[in-house]
Order: sequence, then structure tokens, then C-alpha cells
Amino acid sequence: MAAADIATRQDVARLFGRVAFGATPLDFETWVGQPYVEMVEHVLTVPASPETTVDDIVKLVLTQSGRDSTVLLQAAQQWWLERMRSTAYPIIERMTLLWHNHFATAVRDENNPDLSMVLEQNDTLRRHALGDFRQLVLDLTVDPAMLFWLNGAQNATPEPNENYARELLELFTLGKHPQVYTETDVREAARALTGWVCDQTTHQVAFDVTRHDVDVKHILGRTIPNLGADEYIAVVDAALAQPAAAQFVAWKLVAGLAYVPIQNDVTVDPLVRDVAVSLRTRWNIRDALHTLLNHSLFRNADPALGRQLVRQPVDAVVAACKALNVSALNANAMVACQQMGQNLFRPPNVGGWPMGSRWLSPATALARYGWGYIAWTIWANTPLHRELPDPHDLTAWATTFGLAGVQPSTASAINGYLTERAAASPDELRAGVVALLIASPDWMVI
Amino acid sequence: MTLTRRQFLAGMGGLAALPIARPLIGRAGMAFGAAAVDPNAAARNRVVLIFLSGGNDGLNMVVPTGDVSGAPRRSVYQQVRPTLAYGPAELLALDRGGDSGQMLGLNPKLPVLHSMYRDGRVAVVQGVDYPDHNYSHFTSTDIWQSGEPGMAIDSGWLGRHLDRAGVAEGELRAVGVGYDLPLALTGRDQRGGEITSIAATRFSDGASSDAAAGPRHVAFGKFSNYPTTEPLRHLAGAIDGQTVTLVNTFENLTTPTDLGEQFANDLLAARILLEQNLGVECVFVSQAGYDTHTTERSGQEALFTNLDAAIDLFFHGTFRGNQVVPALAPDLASRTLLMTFSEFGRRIGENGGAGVAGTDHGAAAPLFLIGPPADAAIPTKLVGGLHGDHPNLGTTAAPADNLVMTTDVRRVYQAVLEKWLHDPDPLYGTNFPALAGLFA
Repeated sequence: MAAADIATRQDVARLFGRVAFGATPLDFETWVGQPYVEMVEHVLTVPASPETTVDDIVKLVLTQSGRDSTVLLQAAQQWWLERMRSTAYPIIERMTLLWHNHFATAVRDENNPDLSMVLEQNDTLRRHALGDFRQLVLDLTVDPAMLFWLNGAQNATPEPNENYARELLELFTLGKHPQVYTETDVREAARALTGWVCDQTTHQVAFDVTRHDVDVKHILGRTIPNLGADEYIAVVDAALAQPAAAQFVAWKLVAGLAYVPIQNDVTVDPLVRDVAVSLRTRWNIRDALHTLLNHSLFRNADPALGRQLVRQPVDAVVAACKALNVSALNANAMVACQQMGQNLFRPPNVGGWPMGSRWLSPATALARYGWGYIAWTIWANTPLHRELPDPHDLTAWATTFGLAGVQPSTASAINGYLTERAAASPDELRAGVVALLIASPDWMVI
Repeated sequence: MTLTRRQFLAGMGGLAALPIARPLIGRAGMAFGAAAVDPNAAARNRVVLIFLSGGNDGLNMVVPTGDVSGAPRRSVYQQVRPTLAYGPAELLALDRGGDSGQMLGLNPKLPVLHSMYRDGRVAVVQGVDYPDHNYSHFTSTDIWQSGEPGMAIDSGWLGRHLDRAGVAEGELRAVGVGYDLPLALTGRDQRGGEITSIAATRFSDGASSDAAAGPRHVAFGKFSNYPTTEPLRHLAGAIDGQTVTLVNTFENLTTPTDLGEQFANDLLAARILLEQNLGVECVFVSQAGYDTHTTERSGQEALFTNLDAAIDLFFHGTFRGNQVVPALAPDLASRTLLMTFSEFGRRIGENGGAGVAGTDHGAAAPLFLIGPPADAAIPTKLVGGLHGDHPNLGTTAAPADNLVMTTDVRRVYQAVLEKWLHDPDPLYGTNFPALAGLFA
């Protein structure tokens, strides 16, 4: 086997860092020196039906609790953070998070969707996390949370509501680089999607033919006759038949898991192009990930070309909890996510959270730095916590935090701190090293 | 509360012992917590941009109260908005001077704005948009903030102004309030600062305020020597002395900063940023929620109630009937301009019917500017009242679908840049001359 096919420490750190909330010391031990493709296969191998954990009982309680409140929302956020940290199949949670950002739906305080609807949607996202993208779009089109979030449930003839139709084309399937749909397509799609209703209490979704526009529609070059309750399938298929659809979804996968390609280069970025090809054949997400994670442009992240992934706040929080072996079912971990700007189940709008370097804004710099100290405090308050390395052993710290190593500039900054504070207790120095590692460029981008 | 320059420097920990006339040094050698304030900053005019995010329905903000010759606006409005239309008697008349002939009224949930309009402090520019209107929230927001429709978007209209003005190393002249740097403030050469809130602008590392001790010194000092490649180069600007300056400044505030309402907090943060002697000239705040596809009447009214209260707070210190902070100091009031914008107005006709009626994405809408009191002793003032023409709504037999622009937004930007910010190199040249009469 050629050396290039063998996973290095950097390969392990990058793959697990990007799709599994960080490499553990065991991941390094298991995979360094093994075939890279086998490591990818391992990461992508998940059970047919999602694992059931004790966490699900927590979620069951939340779902049954009726109207949401801030307390319930915060509990749900902690539940998901901890599930991301503790799962045996992190790729499922990582992709669920990616789809939560793609089909961004937010809990509303006074109106629907309420928390229980958004948690049901979360399960739908998880069910299809590595599955069939077409089925995912179809299910979300008639999903209770989505029907309220983008007013599908208020879309009735003769005065259709365009909200869902526009975002289905612009944000969920086709993108705008280039824009292949017209304003007429939006209006026609809105007409085709009329008729869906959802019961606010039972979340029962139904098709009310009296609210449906039965005239012929023309969408993206297709003529769609009255298909009643099946018409939404024809709309989704018209969108996914456009070559722009696979390119756009591939762009989202690359932007979410590898690096943010320049928008206008969607057709020329080789990684986007190759992922789009595997997606287009049968819209299977696992196939697309297989292409993505094995691609040389994923593996050889060239920092000079900006081909690196900025850790999103949730990832920074979960990965730190994982590294420190502490529970993320923790109010401070949840608050840290919010302060860095990523409030789970509450994306800022239907466009989702920022991606890439937009996470590195001065507004959140303090919160990112502060999280390191908070993470250490959680560790310090955890009974029987994992031993942390000697403050001066940066190699051991790198392994603990899932990093291949610490860059010389980072090492010199941390060593400068350790020298300056030589008289401090080992625990104070450990706190400082954790805060500095989490604020370091090595940790921010992977 | 306004700090003197001396108090401000004294608040900066390690710098307290240094002479006040300490010369500026570049980023590489920048002292921890140092910021540069141009001595001329206090005399500059300032702009607070208020982004009404989601697409504010301008037609229910400035509403036809009657038909005018050749334009049956009221008749069409009432016909296509059977649920959403306001009755003429509900509206606050825009009847100052020559405005009364235009038969327009302000939304009843904006009484403070209306009273400031009557005092001549509010300019309403009607029918503002850009050519080839885009109906996407995200694309249209970018176009509005860039001020360069039809071109590749790489910077914002105020950011480029600051590029031209020449921002010195370490100077903090623009600040966005929110989680994401606003494009409007982003230049090609430099970018502004950013805070999420006053309350969150502090260290949470448990260390004492002595910045020289502990890891923060390293994180915000030595780590600023970040790589210049993407995406890390963005962090180089994020973790620097400006952030520390803001922390140290806000630490000394004694006024309330959390009023229990997000937008009021953000606009108050904007005011505090202007009040401190930081040299801040442009601030960007957002009020989210204007995407009223359904139940628009209650949704927009709730937002306007908060908008009006926050504007009251900004100028008069009054919030929900309470005097929370003093009125904006007269010298600052005479140099501060508030300016609203939204990514688009909404469709003329309503959707959905009684109970749920809303409107879909539309085009042109009015833009509000709020300026100094009429008696402010300044050379150039905002001219209150209605500017430009209200767009046509078609006829009752053939109602229009969208409001078509009557004023290109670039002419408004040009007026603000040229007349208010005294931009040394006017942006749009002769193609988009400053909107006449907006400042005098």
C-alpha cells in the first residue's frame, strides 16, 4: 500500500474534527497507520435505525410537555449537545446539525412552530441524515414545523402564500449562483403547494382539496396538471431535476464539512463538482459523503487556499466537552453556544447560521475565548474527571484535544504564558492552557 | 454617561501610567488594550443604520389616506387590502407644511416618530429601491448594504466611505451590534468592530481586571499574530486591542444596558458607543421579524411599537414611559443621524384572507431619516418632511402588483455621504446625484 493511502495523525485529526466532533486519543491509536479509506468507511458506517439512548427519554418528556418555554428550549438544546458528544455514531448528529442549518427552522415563542414540532422535525432530519436527500425534502415540505415556519399551512387558493415556495427553490434546492428559477416559478410553485393544513394540537398534517388550486401550473419548464395531494412531489422533482440542484446541495456539503468554496465558483470547484456528480445519480447522502471525505481536496486541506473548516460554535462546545470527557448536558455549555451566536433550534432566520469565516467576528471573539475557561470549570466541577496532561506537555494536550500537533507560533505563545506564570498552581496553568488552546488558531479551524 | 479622555485611558489597566499623548503604534506592536482615537472624532457627524430585517411593509407604514389627482392610491389600497388596510382616521397625518396635499398618514404605532416628524426632524424618502429588484431576502439585503446594485458585492457603502476617509491603525470608527459583521460597514481596506451586546462585551475567564495577568493577555495579544490566509485572517482583526478597549470602556458604565427588549438594548448600545469617546462614527443595528407573510397586522404593529419606543429611548431617554437614561446630549444630538432601511417592501395586495392575512415579498418602500433638532447650531441640517414621490398603485380596474421605485437608493446614499458625512470623494458621481433637498 502506498504511503499516501495510509492515514496520518493529521488525517485522523481532520476527518474526526470535521465530521465527528473531534478525534479522541483512541481514534489516533486505532487509525494512524491504517488505510485512509477504511477510516472513512468506519466513520460512515451507522446502524439502519438510529440508536436509542437514555437521552431519548429526556426528549420524550420535552415532546410531551406541550407549549414551549425558555426553560424547555434550553433543556432541549442541552439534550442535543450531549447527544452529539456521547453518541457512538457522531456522523449522524453532525449531519443532523448540517441539515438543521440547511432547512433552518426556529421555535417561536408565541406562535407555531413550537418546540415539540421542531423536535419532531429534528428526528426527521436525523432519520434521513445519511439517507435520501429527495425524501428529506419531500418529508420537510409537509413537516408540521415547516408548514407553520414558512406558512405552508396558510397557503390556500385563491391568494397563495409564497413563503415556502420561494425558500424551497432559493435555499433548499437550487441556490442563487446562478439563479435558474424565475419569479414566475416561485408563484407557480406556491399555487402547486396550496391545500396543506396542520392541526396545531395533534400535529396531524392533511391535504384539504378545497384549499388547493386545481389549474395547471408551469414550473421550471415542466407542465404540472392537478395532482392534488401528490402535486408537491412533482414540484420537488422539478427542482431536483435541475443540474443546479445537485451543485447547490454539494456546495452546502462542502461548505459545511470542508471549506466554503467561493459562491460563484460553484461549477468550477473540483470538490463541489465531484460531490455533485455522486449526489445527482440517486440523491444518496452517504454516497456523496463517501466522495467528499475520500477526496484529495478534503484530505489535503491547503491553508494557503483557505481550504479549512471554521469550527461552528456548537462544534467548538461539543468537541471541547468530548476532549475533556465531561457532559454537555450543562447550562454553561448551552449558554456558551448562544454567546458565540449559535442557538440550537433558534437559527437567526430561514437562511440559517453563518458559515466559514463569518463565525470569526469580533463580536464572538470574547465568547470563544471565554468558552475555554468555562469548559475547564465544567471539568473542574465534574466528579471523577479525566486526568489532564501536565501543563507543559503540549504534545499530550494536542492528543487530548484531537489535534495532530500544536503549531510553533501557538506553542511559543502558550509557553510564554507558562513561563510568565511559573509560580501558579498546576491547575491554574491547566485552566490557562485549555483557554489558550480553545482560543488558538489550531483549534478554530480544522 | 460620557467618559473624559483621561478617565477612558485610566480605565485601560496597564496603560494608566502612560502619558496621554502616547503616539499611535501599528498592530504588530500594539499595546494590550490600546485604541486610537482621532482628536477630530468628536466633531464628526455620525450615522446609525437601522435595518428592518425581513422586508418591512412600507405601504402600511406610510399609508394613503385619500386619492390624489391622477393616482387613486387610497381606492386601490382599500380594494386590494380588505383585511390589512388602515382606515384614514386611524392614521397619524403626515401634514407638515406642503405635505398635506399628498394625503398620507403614518402607522398609528409610531407616535414618537410622528411627533418628531411634526418637529421637522424626520425625513421620509418615498419609493426607494434599486433597478432590477431582487426578491430574495439575502440577495436584496446584500444589495442594499453594498449600495452597488448590478455589481459583484464585496463591500458596503459606509465601509467604502471609511476606506476613503482613511482609518488609522487601531481606530474604531464603525461598530455593528449583532453576531455577524454587517456588510454595510465593511470596507475593501478595513472593517469595523462588532459587539453582540454591552453585557456580553466582557471577559468570562474569572481573572481580575488586570489584563496583564492570565491567559487573556496571550489570547488577545500574542495570538493576534495570526496567519494571513483564509479563513484565519479574519480572526486577526477579531482578537485585538479594539475588543479589549470596548471591554474596559463598558466595565465603567453605570447606566442600565438591559431593558428586557432586544431592539431597545441594541439601539441603546448604539447610543452608548457614540457617547463614549471611542471615535465611533457609524453603528449598525437590526430589528428582526418584518417578514410578515401571515398575520401581518399584529406582527408589524408589535415591531413598530418596539421601534418607536427604542427611538424615544435613543433621543429622549424615555422607554415605555420611564426615564431610563438622560436625553441624548445636545452636542451629540446635533451630530447624529438615524436611518432606516429594509431589504424590500411588500406586495401591494394581501394574501390569506381574514385572520391570517399577510403580504409576500415586494419592492420599493419608504426610508426614514431622523436628524438633529431644528434649532441645532450646525451648518447643514436634515430637511424634515416627505421627499420624492409616492409610487403608484395602479387603478381599481388594474391594481399594480408591486410598488415601483421613484427614488434610487444611491441618490439617498450620495446625499448622506456628501452632505452629512462630508465624504471627500463622492461615491456615485454624476449618475446618481445627491437627492435634492434632503439636506440644507
